[in-house]
Amino acid sequence: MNGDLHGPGFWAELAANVYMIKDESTRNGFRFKYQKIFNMEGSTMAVGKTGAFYLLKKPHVMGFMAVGLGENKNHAFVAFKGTAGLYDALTDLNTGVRACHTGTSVHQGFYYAFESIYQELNQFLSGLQGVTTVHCVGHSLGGAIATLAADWIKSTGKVAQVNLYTFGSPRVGMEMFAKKCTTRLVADNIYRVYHKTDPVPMVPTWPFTHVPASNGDYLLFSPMTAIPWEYHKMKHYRASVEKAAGWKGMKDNRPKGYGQIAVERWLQSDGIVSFTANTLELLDAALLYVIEKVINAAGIVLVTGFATTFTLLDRMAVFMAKAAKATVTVSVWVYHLIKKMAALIGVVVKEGTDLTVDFIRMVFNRVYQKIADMVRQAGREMD
Amino acid sequence: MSFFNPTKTCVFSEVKARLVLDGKPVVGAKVTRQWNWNKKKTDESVTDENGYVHFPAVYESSVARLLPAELVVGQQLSIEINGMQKVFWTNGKREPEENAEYGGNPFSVVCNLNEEDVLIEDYGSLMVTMCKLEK
Repeated sequence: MNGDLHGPGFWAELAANVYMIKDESTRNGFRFKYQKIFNMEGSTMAVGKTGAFYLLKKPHVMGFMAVGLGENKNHAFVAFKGTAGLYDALTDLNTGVRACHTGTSVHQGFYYAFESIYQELNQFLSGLQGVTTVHCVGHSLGGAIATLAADWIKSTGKVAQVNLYTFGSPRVGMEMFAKKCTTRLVADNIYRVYHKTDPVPMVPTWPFTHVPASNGDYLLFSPMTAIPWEYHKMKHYRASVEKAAGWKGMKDNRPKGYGQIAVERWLQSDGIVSFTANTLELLDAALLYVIEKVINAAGIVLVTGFATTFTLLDRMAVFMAKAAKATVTVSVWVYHLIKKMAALIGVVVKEGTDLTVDFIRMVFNRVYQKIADMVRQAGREMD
Repeated sequence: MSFFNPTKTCVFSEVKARLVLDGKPVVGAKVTRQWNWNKKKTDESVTDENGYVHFPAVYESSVARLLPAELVVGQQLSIEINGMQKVFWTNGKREPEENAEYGGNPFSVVCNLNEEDVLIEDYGSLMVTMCKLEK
């Protein structure tokens, strides 16, 4: 599998092994493993610029940048791992959004993490000669940083192609970022791999959207477990990728998406709403469905500008409250959605309830809090 | 350090190593064990008359384990011979359980210091050593 840049195994392995740049003991293994693939000539693997190999070590992001050797000499590799400190940003409901380096809105926490390595990345890119493809890879928060890196590298026009490989990555930016990034990189060059029961790719919730914006993702089936993030672990990603029938097999696994009728039925149903991965998927589909309806029919737009007075949550609440007062064809779906979300937190919404900004904000806040808890639930069952 | 402590992590398993140089056991040599989870730490021991060195298991706790973050503990063993420090075993421990270094097998190895280091990937990490697991 060494050096087979076409198979998913190489990338899953690299996403796992980027964690080995931690210190000189772990880097020893990394050097043995990749000495014939990456140019580490003259590299002491110390932090900073060391020949063709850069080691990145910042408070919230670590990674490396390298140029390929031999048959891979036209390829460059940029790999990241997130640090524990970033998890707070991930589940912070009142997070802000920032315009990223290519202009569209992304999660503020990821923006700052990327910003911390931006100079080195720029320097690395400027020094590349004869490289036609840059591969960006990362697991978890590292996947989020890899996404921002890939988007920016491609925007510079310095290389012909940028490929992105993420494993269990959270959502990085808003819909416009997802769309522009997908167009820039071309959907076929984006390999977003996720386990069915990994909660991290479910956050941050809407309006954050995955890249690629189209259905080009790679699904790995995984069971429900007592520890909510068990299948977020890189060892399971490696094992599942190993068993999968290549990229194609993973692509064939992906859901066809919930049809409009299924979403409408779910929204209108009065059944018990439990908090599972499936419910969250449906909720996500329902949110998008209702938002599209609101935007298309009522022309209400979610403002995601740069004013800091309002949090994202505020803006979502205002958006929904406006929509609830719009034409009946739209407001009925907003009502169903808020009712369904309220049910998730045990609140009953009766017909005729005034959907005020405060009320909607409370519902969103508590649902998001519950999702955040699920993601970072202090693994009390561990060990 | 209770059984139910979710943050408890084995950062270095119990080590039994036999060190051999030029076909003979290395006697009375200082061996340093180093590990680095959240902070770099070391302890030391000395080889006995048969070249054996022993270290007990080390456990640490950190709230980092409460996050869905990957575990990586840098691990290293080195020996001082003729005033020179030779690293003969490095690894990144990726699982919290004791004996995870060798996939559940007791950490009991023979290290012929004349041999070349090799990369061992059989246990889910990148271990570099000339030591061989004792059967």
